[in-house]
Amino acid sequence: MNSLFIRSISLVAVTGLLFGCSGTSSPTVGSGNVSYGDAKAVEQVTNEFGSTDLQMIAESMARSLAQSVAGAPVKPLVTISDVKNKTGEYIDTRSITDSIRVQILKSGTMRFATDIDGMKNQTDELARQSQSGLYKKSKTAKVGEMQGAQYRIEGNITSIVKRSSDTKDVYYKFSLILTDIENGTIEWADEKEIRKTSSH
Amino acid sequence: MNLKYFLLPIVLLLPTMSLLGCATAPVSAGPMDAKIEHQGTSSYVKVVNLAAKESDGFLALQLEVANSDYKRRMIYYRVKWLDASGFQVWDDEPWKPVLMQGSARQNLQARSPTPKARDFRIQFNAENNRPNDPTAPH
Repeated sequence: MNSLFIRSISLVAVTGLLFGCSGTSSPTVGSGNVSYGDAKAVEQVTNEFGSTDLQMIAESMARSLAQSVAGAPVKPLVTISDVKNKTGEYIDTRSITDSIRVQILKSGTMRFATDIDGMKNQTDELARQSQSGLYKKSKTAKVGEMQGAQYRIEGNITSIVKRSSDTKDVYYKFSLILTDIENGTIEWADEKEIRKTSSH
Repeated sequence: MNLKYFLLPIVLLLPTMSLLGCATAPVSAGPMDAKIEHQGTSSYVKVVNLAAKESDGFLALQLEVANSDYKRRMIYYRVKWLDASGFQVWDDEPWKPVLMQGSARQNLQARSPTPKARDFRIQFNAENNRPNDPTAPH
């Protein structure tokens, strides 16, 4: 009995040492010099174009566009052309238009036709299905069934940069328009302005 | 009970109800404090008014903020969009920085991203916030 008691205590102690004393650890790997942050926080590291600018522009444009077609009996079919970067810095404008497209699609107010950038992949896949002879005829996408967009979204981003000995001021203006492709009329336009000033 | 006394309030109420019932565009913002999540107690910039309306199935909000300081102050806000059951129907928005001029009032507007949004909460953060007073009524 005594021996069994001692053995039980020892087992509990060893188990405690192995597991209990180590504490609850986070499911992470690495020494901890890397940290995750809030992707939606206001980024003020420098006054170059940043994540907050991209997010605010995409949100503002997507909501304005969605509102402009709200209540339409049929969801318009649109395509996105490139946004021209007329600033002096490198800005991935494709990332802005991608975010706008995601938000409009999620809002359920518009449909998007394949844009110029995606056309090669689209036609390659269509040709592979219809011309390779590998697929069952009844299960392949048919050539000549693609839909042309009714509207085209395009825009540009410009900036004005001013510097003094201790201040840098950057003004961004993002403009977007929606054009009726058939008749060439501009049916909607909006813009978003951002000013960022830093001093040192 | 005299039927006249029973019918009179109904006759008076019906036109009032039809007038109010047809004007469905403004959405009740409810008690303002219930719609705004203050992150700390703002020393200078306060939310003084909140209006909401519905347009083509989308909610539109207008938040009036006032800066009681003579200096410029930064504020940050974003909206959580909820369905009628209180479930969040859109990803967290980016925080929006707004520079308030000294001794100024400003309207901040927001539009819902989806017609699924039926309710909202505004997260509000101002420069020089003090910690929330746990004893203060919410």
